Amino acid sequence: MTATYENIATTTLGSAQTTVSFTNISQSFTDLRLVINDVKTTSSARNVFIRVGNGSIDSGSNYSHTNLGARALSATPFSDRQSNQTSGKLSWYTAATTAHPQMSVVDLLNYSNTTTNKTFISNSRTAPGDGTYSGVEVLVILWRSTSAINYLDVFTDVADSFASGSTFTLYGIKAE
Amino acid sequence: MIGAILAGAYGDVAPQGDFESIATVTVAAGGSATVSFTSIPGTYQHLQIRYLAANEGGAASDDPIYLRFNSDSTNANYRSHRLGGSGSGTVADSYQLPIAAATNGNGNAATYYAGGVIDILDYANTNKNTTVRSLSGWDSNGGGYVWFMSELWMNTAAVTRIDLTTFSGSDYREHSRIALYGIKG
Repeated sequence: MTATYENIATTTLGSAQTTVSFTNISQSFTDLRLVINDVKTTSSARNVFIRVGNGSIDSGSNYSHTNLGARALSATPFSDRQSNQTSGKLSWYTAATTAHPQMSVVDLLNYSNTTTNKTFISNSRTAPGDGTYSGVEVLVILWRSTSAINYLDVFTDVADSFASGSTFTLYGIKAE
Repeated sequence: MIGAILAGAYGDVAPQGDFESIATVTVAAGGSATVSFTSIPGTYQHLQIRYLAANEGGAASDDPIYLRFNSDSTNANYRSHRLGGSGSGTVADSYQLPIAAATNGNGNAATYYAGGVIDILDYANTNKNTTVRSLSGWDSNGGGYVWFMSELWMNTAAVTRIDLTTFSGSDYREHSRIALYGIKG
């Protein structure tokens, strides 16, 4: 048995930034796991998105997602879907302030294979306490490409950015 | 309530160095009805299965993954609960079946595969029944499901063998990759 869970890269923002990029990602793992703990610069409802690619970022309409979640004070869960998007959505409708950072754990499964399209599973939450926008979600994201992934961008809505102190860690998981 | 349940799932990040690959199955041409992990060592605290998999069924539909332990094929020894989203509504149900996660048929496109992560907790403990939790799903750019599930095996034996089949009985499709990992305590 070999240890197989390795840190590839960690980014901790020293100032506000709209996009966090990982480039030239090693192809020597089976899965990638991206862990995000972010704070937005405003308190409005925001999303967190992902784009991936091989050699460059794919911003074509090749992403879609289905989600399951619960928001704020509602007792009723919800499910939505968006197709033919120019990015995948990692979390919906979160307003992460300094007191209520958002966390996402995203698994990019079998990311380096060149046979199948790629499926990601994201679990995100905003810390309780924000009575309007806190919540929890699970999303499945499809990237319609058989290319291996070696580029990855994470970003939020145009009107916002990730605040200083937000962290983005990419791990590699290797199957024997 | 739902939020509280989901918040407890899946967010843990395993310590590096304490997460080991045990075995991996990549389904070959022609497909495979069952994916098995045998002679699983009891030296870990938890097990995790990570997969990108689809089945050979022709329907563009969701297909539960059965997870059976130690060759126990009696459905009455298992319970499962599912909370899911179809993109247009939510689903919550339970079964006396060994449902652990989800995959999809090839009615959408042969290159769309479901993904999932399944945790098998305290699997070697002989004082407790075995509990499983998972997040899984598939999207087909217009269809799909995402699931949060649990499974119970009502047996206190240490888990030494895991067999994965599908509810539909369809074979796992070529190129499906299912990997078993051990997490140290």
